[in-house]
Amino acid sequence: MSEPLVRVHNLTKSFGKLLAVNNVSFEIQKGQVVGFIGENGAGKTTTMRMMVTLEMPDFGHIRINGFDALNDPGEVRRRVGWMPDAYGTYDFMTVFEYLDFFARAYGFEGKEREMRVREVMEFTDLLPLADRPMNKLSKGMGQRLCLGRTLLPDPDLLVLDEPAAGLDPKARIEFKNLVRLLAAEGKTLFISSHILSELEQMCDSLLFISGGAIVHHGSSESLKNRDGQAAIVRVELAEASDKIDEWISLQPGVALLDTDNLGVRLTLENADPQSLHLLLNGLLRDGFKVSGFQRQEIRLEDAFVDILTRGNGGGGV
Amino acid sequence: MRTKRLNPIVVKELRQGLKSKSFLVCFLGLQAFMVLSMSIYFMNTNSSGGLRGAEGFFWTLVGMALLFFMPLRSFFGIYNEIRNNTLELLFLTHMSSNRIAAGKWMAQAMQVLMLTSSILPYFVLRYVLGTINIAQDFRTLGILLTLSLLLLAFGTGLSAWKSKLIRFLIIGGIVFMLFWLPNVLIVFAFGGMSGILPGFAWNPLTFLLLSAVLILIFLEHGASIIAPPAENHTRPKRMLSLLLFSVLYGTGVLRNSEAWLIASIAVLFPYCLGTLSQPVSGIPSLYKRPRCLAALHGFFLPGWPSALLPVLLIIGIPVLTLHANFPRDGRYLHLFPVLFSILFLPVAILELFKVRLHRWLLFYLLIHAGTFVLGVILLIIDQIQKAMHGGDPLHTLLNLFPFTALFQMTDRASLSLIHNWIPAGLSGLCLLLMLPRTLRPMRALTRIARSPAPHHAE
Repeated sequence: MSEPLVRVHNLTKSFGKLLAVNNVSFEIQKGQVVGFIGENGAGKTTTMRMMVTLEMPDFGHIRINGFDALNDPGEVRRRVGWMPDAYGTYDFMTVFEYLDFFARAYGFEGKEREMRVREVMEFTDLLPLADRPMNKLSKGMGQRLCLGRTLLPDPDLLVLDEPAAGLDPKARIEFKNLVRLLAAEGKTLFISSHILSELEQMCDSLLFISGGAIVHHGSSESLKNRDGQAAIVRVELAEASDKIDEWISLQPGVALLDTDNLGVRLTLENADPQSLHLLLNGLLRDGFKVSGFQRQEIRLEDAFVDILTRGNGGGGV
Repeated sequence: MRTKRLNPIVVKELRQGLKSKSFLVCFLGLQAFMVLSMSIYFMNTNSSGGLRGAEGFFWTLVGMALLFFMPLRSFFGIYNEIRNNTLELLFLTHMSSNRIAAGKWMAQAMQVLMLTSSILPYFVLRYVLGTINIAQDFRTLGILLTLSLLLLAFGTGLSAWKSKLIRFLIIGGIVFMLFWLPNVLIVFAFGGMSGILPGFAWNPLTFLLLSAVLILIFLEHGASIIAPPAENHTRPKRMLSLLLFSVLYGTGVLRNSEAWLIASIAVLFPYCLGTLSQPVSGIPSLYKRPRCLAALHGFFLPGWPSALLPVLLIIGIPVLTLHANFPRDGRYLHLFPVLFSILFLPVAILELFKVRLHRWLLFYLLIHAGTFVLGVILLIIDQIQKAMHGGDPLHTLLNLFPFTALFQMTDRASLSLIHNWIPAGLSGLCLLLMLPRTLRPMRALTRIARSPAPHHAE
C-alpha cells in the first residue's frame, strides 16, 4: 500500500478536565473521500482543528503528506484547505474582493492571481455573484464562497467541517455535486457531518467518533454488515397497544428502536429466520394484532446508534 | 513566481476602511470644520485676538482628528478579525501574525496620511493670509502625525485582546504606571515635584527613534497575542525591549541625565511586568534557534525563568548607573529591592501555589492589585495613627509591601535598606527554589517534541 496522505497517531487533547480527543489514530489514502461522524461534542472539530494546525495536541502525531503538523506547521498549512462550520464575513467587501484578498494572502501575484480567482469562481459557480457584497449572500452561496477560498491554494487535502449544515435541499444538492467533482479530480476530502445518509453517498469510507475516541473506520457497507450486527424489523399493528413496549423489553435479544402511530421498529441480535419466526409467533400468541411484519435494510443511522449502544469498537481503524 | 511585495492586509483594510462610515464622517467632518476655521480666519484678519482664537480652533480640529478619532478606530483593528472568525483563516494562508498586525497598522497609517494631506491646502491658505510661521506649523504637524502613528500602533496592539476587561486593565495599568511611577521616582530623587524633570530635554532624533521602537513594540505585542502557539514571540519582544532600553539608557548616559536614566526604568517597567506575567509554556524545541543568537536561545523562551536575568539587568544597570553618577546618599540603592519585589513577588506566590498556566496573567494582575490596595489601606491607617498619636506605628509593615515601600521611599526618614530587602529576599529565595521544578516540565516537553513520529505497522 502507498504512503497514506494523512497519518494520525495517538492524538490526544484535553481542555481542562475535559478529554476532548482520546488516543485517536487513523490513516487516509490519497484521493479518498472520508466522512467523519459523531454526535455533538464527540471531538470531530477538535480533531480537524489539530489536523490543520489550529490546535496543539497534548500528545500524538499528525503527518500530512509526510510533514509533521507539530514540527512543520507551515508545510502542513500549504497542503491543507480548511473550511470551518461558520465562516466569517467582512463588511464592505464583495465576493470577488474576498477571493482576491485571500489569493493575495496565499501569495498569488498579478495575472496568476486573477486567473486563479477566476478558475475558482467558475468551479464554484460564483462568477454571477462577483460584485455582490459578501454579507448579502445566502447560506448556500456563502458555503460555496467558503469552499472557493479553501480551493484557492489548490490543497492536497480538504478538511470540511459540517459543510452542509443549515443548507436548504437545493443548496445541499449543489454542494454534494461540488464534492463529487472534487473527488473526481482526485482531491482527498475529510468531511464531518451529522447527515449520515449524505455522507454515505459521497464518501469512500466513514470514521465514527464518540466520546473523543474512534469507534469505527471503514466503508458504510462494512459497517452495516459487521459480525453480530442486529437485524431491523418493522412490526405494524392493526390496533395500537400500550403493552408492546413492555412486551419487547421482556424478550431476550430484542430491543425497541423507535415507535410511531402505526407500529414499532425493533432490533434483533440474531438475524436468522428462526429468530424472526419466533418473534412473530410470540407477538401473535400474546394477542397483538399484527398487520405487517417486515425485515428492513439497516440504515447508517441505525448502525451508528448500534455501535454507540454496544460500545463496540470494531472495524479497521 | 510568488512574491510578497504588498501586504494583502493593507489592500483589504484600505478597501474596507475607505468605504467605512467612520472614515467618511471623519474625513468630511474635518473638511467642513476646516472651511469653518478658514472663515473665522477671514473674518478676523485685522484682530490679533481673533486670529489666536482661529489658530486654537484650527489646531484643536487637527489634533482631534489625528489623536482621537483615527486612533479610536485602530482599537478594533485585530479585534474585528477575531470577532468575525477570520483570523484563523488568515493563519492558514502565508500570513504571519506580524504581517497581520503590521498590515492593520499600515492601512490605518495610510488613512491618517490621506487625512493629513487633505488639510495641507488649508495650511497654504493660512500662509497666504500671513498668519503663520510655516516651519513651526509643519514641525507641529509632524509631531502630531508621529503621535498619531504611535497611538495607532498602541490601539492595533491592544485590539488583539479579545477581552474588553483586559484591554481596559492594560490601558489603565500603563497610564497608571507612566504617570504614577515617574512621579514617585521624581519625588524620590529630587525631593519634590518641580513640574519638569531637570535635564529631560528632547531632540527630534530621540523622539523619532523612540516613536519607531515603541511602534514596533506595540505591533509585536498585538502579533504575540494572536499568534499560534508554535510561534515564539518572546525573542522579538525581548530584542525590541532591549533596543528601547538602549535608546533610553544610552541617552541618559550620553547626556549624563538623571531624568533619562529614571525614564529608562519607568518606561521599561510595564515591559518587565508583561514578560513576567507570561506563563512558562510552549514547546521550546519547536522554536527555531536564531543563527546569530544560538548561544542565547535560553533567554528567549517564554516564561519568568528565562526573563529573570534580562529583568534584573534592565532594573539593575540604570539603578547602579544612577547610584554611581548621582549618589544622593545612596538613595538609588533602595530602589533595586523594592522594584525587584514589585516584579517578582507575584511570580513567587504563583509558583508556590502552582497556579494553572491559563490563569497566570489574571492572578499576576490580581496579586498586584490586591497588594496595592492593601498597601494603600495600611498607609491611610498609618497616616491616621500618626496624626492622632504621633510616631510611625506601621512603618516596618509598610516597608514589606512593595508598592507602599515605594511610597515610603519618597519620605527620606523612611529609607530602610534592611526592610526593603526582606520582601525582595523572600521573593528571590522562592524563585530559586521553584526554578528546578519549573524547568522540569519544559525539559519533558522538549523530549516529547524531539522524539520521532512512531511508525505504523501496515
